[in-house]
Amino acid sequence: MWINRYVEQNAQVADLEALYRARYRHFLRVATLITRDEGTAHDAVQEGFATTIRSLASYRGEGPLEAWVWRAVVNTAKKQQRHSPAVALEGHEPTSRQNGDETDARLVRTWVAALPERQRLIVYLRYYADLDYRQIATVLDIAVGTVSATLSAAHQTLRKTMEEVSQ
Amino acid sequence: MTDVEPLIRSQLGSLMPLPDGSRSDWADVLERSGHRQRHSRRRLLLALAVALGLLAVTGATIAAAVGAFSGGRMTIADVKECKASTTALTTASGARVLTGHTDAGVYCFTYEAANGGGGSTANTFPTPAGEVIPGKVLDTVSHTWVIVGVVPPGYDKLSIGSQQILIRNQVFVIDPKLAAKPGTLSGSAGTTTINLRDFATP
Repeated sequence: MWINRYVEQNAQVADLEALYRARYRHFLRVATLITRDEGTAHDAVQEGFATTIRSLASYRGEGPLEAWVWRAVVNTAKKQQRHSPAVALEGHEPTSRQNGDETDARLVRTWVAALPERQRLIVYLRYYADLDYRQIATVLDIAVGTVSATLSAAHQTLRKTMEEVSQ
Repeated sequence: MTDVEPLIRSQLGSLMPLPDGSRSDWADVLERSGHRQRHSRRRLLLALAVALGLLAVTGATIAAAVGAFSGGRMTIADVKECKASTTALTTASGARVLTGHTDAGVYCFTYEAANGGGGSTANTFPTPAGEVIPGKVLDTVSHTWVIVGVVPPGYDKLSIGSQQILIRNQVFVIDPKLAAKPGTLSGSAGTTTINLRDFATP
């Protein structure tokens, strides 16, 4: 029993290592968006994985292990962001719609940054981390329906802003 | 009406490309977690002590009953000695499952994705899942989880619901979604039920 648990936990640590090696850059990207500083974000990713390893004994497969790690990384990043001095967001308020990918990119960044925190987080997890609704629900500890509704609200906000700008 | 999802999808990647991964440092993660010290030293010693205790009690009981002691259970030393070196199966994505076992009957396997990532485990039959040594691992090429199982000799087919999975060289690989239902191993060794629900994707 003890040995089985020992082997099982070491197998889970090996799974976590594989996940870390495969997806470190994705974790770092989302953590950077939350903390707005890559050094702080790296620390959040490291601490998030370390926290997950420390809590493996209580992991009973309640959800995908990856979602568990995302939850730890996001929570650590949010905590660190709260303790960091505010950093101005890049971008600017859209004044008129222009052609060109660069302008589109800048506008989208500004609009996404202006979303309420939960909507913004869900957009990051959906499009930057490629998580499905169920995984996002596990990460943020909310219902799947709430993820769907919040993402829909974010889309609606962005759509409205884009239509106003394009007029 | 503007559909923003395609625009978000196309623009977010260029807005924030994947950062450089040169800072990644798994050893630092392990150090922060205390895993090396706590798990690899203290727990290893504890697990060894428990294993030796179990062996002594089991051996003494059997010896008392039949006047002889044979066989034994897995020890951490066995796990370390078990080098998976035989390619048992290659998946469609190019991943390989390597198997091996010690003379004491401890089986082990390594799942190695096409880019070298993967994981490994070791155990003896039976496990809590039945006559199978299961492991769940992330395929680092397809970024999907798979369940790998090693079964005793004499089984060539795994049936789960209407799905029939061929077992090659004692090894099968399945999608975790299939693991919610019990499966049946069959072959010249007979039939037996296995249960991989602890590894299923909810």
